[in-house]
Amino acid sequence: MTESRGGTEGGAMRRIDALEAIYPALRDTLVVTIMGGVAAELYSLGHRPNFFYNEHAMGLASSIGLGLALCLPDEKIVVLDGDGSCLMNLGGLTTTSRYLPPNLAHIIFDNESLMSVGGFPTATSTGADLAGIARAAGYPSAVTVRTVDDFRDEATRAIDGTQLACIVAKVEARNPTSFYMDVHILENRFEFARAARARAGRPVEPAPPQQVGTAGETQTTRG
Amino acid sequence: MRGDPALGPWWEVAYERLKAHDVRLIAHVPDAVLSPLIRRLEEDPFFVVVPLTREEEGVGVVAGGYLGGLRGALLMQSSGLGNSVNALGGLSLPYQIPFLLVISPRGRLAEFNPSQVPMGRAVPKVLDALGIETVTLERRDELAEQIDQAARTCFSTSFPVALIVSTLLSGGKRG
Repeated sequence: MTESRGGTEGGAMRRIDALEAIYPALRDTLVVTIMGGVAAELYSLGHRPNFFYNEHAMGLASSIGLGLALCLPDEKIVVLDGDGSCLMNLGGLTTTSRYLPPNLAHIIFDNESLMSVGGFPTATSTGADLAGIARAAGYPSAVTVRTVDDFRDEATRAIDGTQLACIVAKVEARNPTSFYMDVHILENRFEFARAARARAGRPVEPAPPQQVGTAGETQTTRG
Repeated sequence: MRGDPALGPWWEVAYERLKAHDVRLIAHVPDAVLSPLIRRLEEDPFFVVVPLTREEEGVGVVAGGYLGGLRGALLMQSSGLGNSVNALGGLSLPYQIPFLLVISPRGRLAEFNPSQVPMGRAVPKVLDALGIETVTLERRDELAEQIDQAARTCFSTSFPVALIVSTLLSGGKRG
């Protein structure tokens, strides 16, 4: 086994405990999670319409968060990322840093492994420092925390704050007790979009039928 | 370039039709053929223009924007489709997130770089394999109507639609 130069020797928390610590603070935000354990554990604490679970496309939770942050500047967006996912989209850190969206909190749960495919170690296990990478990409604030208390403090500050922030939480490499989620992805997508747009006062899609003869285009919900 | 020059450049029409359909969020990796359209969009504060590092990110950005209530378009060279396939298959399609996928084709007509050919030739088959409705924009006189109909299908049915900007319309990239 490769000797770890990074992370969890200095201690690590359980991810479910970290999520539980910030769960109340997520009530008035829009949350985007990665797949697998993060989604299942957040769900196990209680699903809400403002939670979006990106169940497949690895790396894109942060890009979805950027899109939300840019189009809903008055809403706080919280991305719940993972080390494997973040490493797949390091370029996205540089894209986000071009905008420095003040309403985006980027939380990365770093268990130094790809748990859902058997626990193979990621590059953070040999020293890749995601907080350092985020800072170097241009994030004005990026910290690594190892205890639930520190995580609660930093995450709450990021969620309540007005500056783009990244928090890397070193967590134990363990799967959730259950992957059970009774939310179909389409149900999740439409519910979340409705919740996000309601918060922003934006209309739902598709637009309601227009009066015949306006703008030469009649849209109807019947086929 | 095909069509009546008096009708104006293709990218001016594309700009107008995107605006007419309230497509405000524009994510892109720059491309030479698409550059006049990108610059035109950047000039108008109506649009939120997001330059990407890699095309795949754009699938996420336009998804987030759409969930938040902004219609989007993702602009890229055909090579970028190769960088985006799993994101389209794992996010846009199963979650039914609509956006206009505007592709500048390389490796087909008017090509000078042989390394563009294999991916460029694969583009229609890749889009077809994913089940993405694809429209080739080739004639200047049909351009506005094609974009209008594509946008209606896209945002009414909640699936992405691809628009390929033919070199017969744009003139292609001069090596």
